[in-house]
Amino acid sequence: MFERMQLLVCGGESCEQKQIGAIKDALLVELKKHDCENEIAITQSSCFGLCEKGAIVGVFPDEVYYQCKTKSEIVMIVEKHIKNNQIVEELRIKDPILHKRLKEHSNFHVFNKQNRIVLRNCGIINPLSIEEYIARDGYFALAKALKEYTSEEVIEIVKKSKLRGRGGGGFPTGLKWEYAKNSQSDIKYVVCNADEGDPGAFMDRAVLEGDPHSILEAMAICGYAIGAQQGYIYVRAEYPVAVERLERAIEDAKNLNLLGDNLFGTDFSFEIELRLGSGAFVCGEETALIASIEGFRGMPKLKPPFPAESGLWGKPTNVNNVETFANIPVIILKGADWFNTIGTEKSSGTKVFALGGKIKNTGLIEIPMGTTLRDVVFDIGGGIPNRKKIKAIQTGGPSGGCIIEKDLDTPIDFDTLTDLGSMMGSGGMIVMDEDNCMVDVARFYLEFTVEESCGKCTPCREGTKRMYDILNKISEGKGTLEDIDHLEVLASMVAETSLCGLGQTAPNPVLSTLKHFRDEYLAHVNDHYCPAGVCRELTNYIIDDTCVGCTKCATNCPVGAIIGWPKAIHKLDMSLCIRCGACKQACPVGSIKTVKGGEAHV
Amino acid sequence: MTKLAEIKKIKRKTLKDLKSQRRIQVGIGTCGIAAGAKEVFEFLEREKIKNKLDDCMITGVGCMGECALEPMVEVVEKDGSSIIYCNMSVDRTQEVVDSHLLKGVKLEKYSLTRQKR
Ligand SMILES: Cc1cc2nc3c(=O)[nH]c(=O)nc-3n(C[C@H](O)[C@H](O)[C@H](O)COP(=O)(O)O)c2cc1C
Repeated sequence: MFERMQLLVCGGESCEQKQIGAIKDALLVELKKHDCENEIAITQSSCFGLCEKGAIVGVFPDEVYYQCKTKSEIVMIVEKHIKNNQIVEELRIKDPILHKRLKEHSNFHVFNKQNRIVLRNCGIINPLSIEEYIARDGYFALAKALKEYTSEEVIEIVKKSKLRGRGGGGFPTGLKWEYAKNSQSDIKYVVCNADEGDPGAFMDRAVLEGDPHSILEAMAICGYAIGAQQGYIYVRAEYPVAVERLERAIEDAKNLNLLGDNLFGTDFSFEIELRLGSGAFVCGEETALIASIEGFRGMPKLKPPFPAESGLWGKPTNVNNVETFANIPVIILKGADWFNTIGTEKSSGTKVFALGGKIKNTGLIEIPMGTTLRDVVFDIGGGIPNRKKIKAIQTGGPSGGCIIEKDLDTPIDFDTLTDLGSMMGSGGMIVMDEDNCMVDVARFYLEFTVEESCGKCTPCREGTKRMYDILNKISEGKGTLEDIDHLEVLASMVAETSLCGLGQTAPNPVLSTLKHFRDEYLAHVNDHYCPAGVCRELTNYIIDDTCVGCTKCATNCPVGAIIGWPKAIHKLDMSLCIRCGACKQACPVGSIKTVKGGEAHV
Repeated sequence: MTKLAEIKKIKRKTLKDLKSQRRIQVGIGTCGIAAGAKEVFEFLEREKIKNKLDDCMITGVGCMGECALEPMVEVVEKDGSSIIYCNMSVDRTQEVVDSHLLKGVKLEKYSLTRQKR
């Protein structure tokens, strides 16, 4: 798995064409010719079932499939694609149906169906070894930028790649670099935002821990492009492993003079230092982050002036997210055109998501922009456990919103998610099923923003607190219809009048749940009933006559509120019940239901 | 001063070294460590010495993305083929050492492809 590319050649024991062995050998010969046989792995897959097309060669991670019949075609593929990263269009299989079939077939052989650019080295190299990073073409992009391009050209490439900031806003990175370059000053700074405060998000941590050098290299490239000599990585102290590996990486890079003075014999010099944050969410906001590096309390400032004009210590500063930086070396090495082949028209490249919640395969995924949410949840994520139905997907953390089932076929990119009333955010993706109460979800995020609001501006400090109080009231069954109206008024007020992104987006979870799940709010208010059975005060259970008498609920009940014998319908004593929901979780046939009615229970 | 040629040399040498060894990768990001990857890693290092597994290189790597199945141990053979074992404990690692590393018999029952579906 250490190789930079993997070739998948069709074949199998019973291959009728018999030429396959020859094709694999021919590939090997060509690779040797170019002295790159150590960089490329060749895997033989079972038969693709497309023998009439000739031999199929899949190139990964690019996910390009070729059909080839002759030796000269092999020569061409190796020379153009493998050596120079140019796709050989005339041999490429373009038929989308065929492509999909091949893709499905290859999933079995290639680690997974994701396209790994940002996570290209994570889980493959030893993050403590600079040699292994170099073996995967590390620091070659920096060399290329310094030796072959002017700073203007580097910016031009990044602009052309259409890379957009992965920290949440999606601002075009090339443009941001250009602003910083055009700001006149003898001192400029590059800052890497590694504060990652969204609950449930850990994409940046994975990159910092698994591939720290890629961030150092990208920051140096950025420094060259905008004319900065000093970089800071603002990383939260809650990431001790990341901090340790970054420190080691900086030291190793200095020792090899890949950071420091006169890099690669040019007159460009660049240093990087770490700054530790203490885990305040607002310090992820760039102006607050800058204040924090300067040693002040982390509070946001009014923009403009943007950091590109006046940032750290009043000097032009370019702030980018970890994941944004992680894309840079690959873009420099493989070119903007290549990057544009991945993703969608307006959002090129990939996005890493931290997939969590009610989903089988929780973890980190990297997918090309334009993948549908359905593919993410059901193909990569493996679907919802326990045969439950999906209710919503929350993206964008406390700044984002919910996407409902009917919109699952939307291709993911910056703009589509915003159109759906959510946002890309930094990449948390939480899947919710029928057991999630949406009032409770909104309440959870509001609790977070109340906690994290820095208190500088009134709408955010007071407004979020009042919204939180109302949500609490509703979830206790004491809410009124008027409260819902107040909630909406407050939400738009906080969004419009807050100073920074934290307050401006804090109402989103409320607004989006109100939009899609208003009936759930109404059930809480009018019927004193929580349909999902989450809000304890509003939950009453019954065991209906589909009960098979398996006794699982009774054994799981912590207070002995369920009585019943094997094979007989069980009974629940609500006067003892503490509404923990353990019985509902345990029931294999779904006989335990929440019901309306009954008094609000305290 | 590092010139491009020197970097190229490091690359060539590292790739060659890597090909000459069996590589045993343990995912030790925060998620892996929380699930017990450090114990697995240290155990493997001890086993390497105990069983004189000189052609095995034990190394830590970052998160592979399957956080729910940590700790994960990937055995990469010299020819580049590999198998990923997941949900590893020290006991399970012992089994992998005994069977896969010492006798060359892969333990499919712990492999990622088997456990995921
Ligand atoms: C409340 C708040 C929290 C933020 N947290 C982060 C964060 O944790 N990491 C991050 O990269 N950007 C965060 N941002 C976005 C940054 O302000 C900034 O837009 C980003 O670092 C720019 O980098 P990019 O262009 O590469 O995305 C946050 C913004 C706000 C308003």
